[in-house]
Amino acid sequence: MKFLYIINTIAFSFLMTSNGCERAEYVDNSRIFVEGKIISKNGTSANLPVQLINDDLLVSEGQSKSDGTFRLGGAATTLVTSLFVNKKIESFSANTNGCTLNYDSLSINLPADRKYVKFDSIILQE
Amino acid sequence: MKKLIYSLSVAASVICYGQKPQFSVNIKGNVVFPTGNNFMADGLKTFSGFGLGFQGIVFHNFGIGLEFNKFYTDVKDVSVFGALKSPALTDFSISLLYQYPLNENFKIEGQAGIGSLEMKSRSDYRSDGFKETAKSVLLGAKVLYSLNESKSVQVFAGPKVYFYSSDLDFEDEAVKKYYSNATLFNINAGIRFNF
Repeated sequence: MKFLYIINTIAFSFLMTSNGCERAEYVDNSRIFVEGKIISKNGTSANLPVQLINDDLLVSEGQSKSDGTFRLGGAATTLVTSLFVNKKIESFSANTNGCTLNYDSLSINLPADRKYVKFDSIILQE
Repeated sequence: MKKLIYSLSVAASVICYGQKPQFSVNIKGNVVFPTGNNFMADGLKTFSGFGLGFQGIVFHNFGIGLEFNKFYTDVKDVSVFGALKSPALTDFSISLLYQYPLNENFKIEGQAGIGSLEMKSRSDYRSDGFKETAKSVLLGAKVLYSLNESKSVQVFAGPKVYFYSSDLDFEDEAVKKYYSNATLFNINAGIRFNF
């Protein structure tokens, strides 16, 4: 039985390492910083929770200020980081190309090669 | 010939040392306050830790010191520092020292040095954590008090300032400066054994 268990463990760990599923890792001596202004149509852009998330890894989190502005800094990682404002986003304008709105409109995927992104505006659907 | 070699070696020792070299070991406690407008001052709490030092005073009260310090802290603002935990700074430095005797029991000592600072933060998500390395320039002073007649044991206390500078890559100069530079104000106190 024990032998079977060992074989199973080896086979399983081999499967885990060779399935090609990429995992985000921290990049030492590299940080990311995102700032911007959230604009809502009904004027509720204050105190919104904002997060930078990469894969299963929380990079940074905070809240928007009373004027809707926010600043988030954290460790850089190997995969694409996304900005979540926890409300549906209608449109945005950024200081760089390559930002894309996720299909569920809840987050913006940041370009992988940028360490600093500034959003002049992130306009919410409501 | 013998006389010449002897007088040369005496002259050389006076030029090189001028005094009998004195070696010391320091053991100390540290607190560090990150100050100014930077990610450490805004994002981190006060550090505390310990330190070890070895030094030799060799020439007209001048000498060289080597130091190892470890400082521990916690994250104060996640939005500034990132979702990381328990950052720890490791400091290795080499300093030029100058001692000035005030009276029988008291001495002051100044130091100017360079070194490396490595900050390692732990993470809930990855076991390896996140590491940042920086160069440092430091300035410090301390007051020493001899506990015994032979001056073999002394206690000391004093301030020190570290200028942390890493070279992070950001597309914005202000953000780069905010995350690459910090001023760390250190207060340390400890005990010194002289040999």
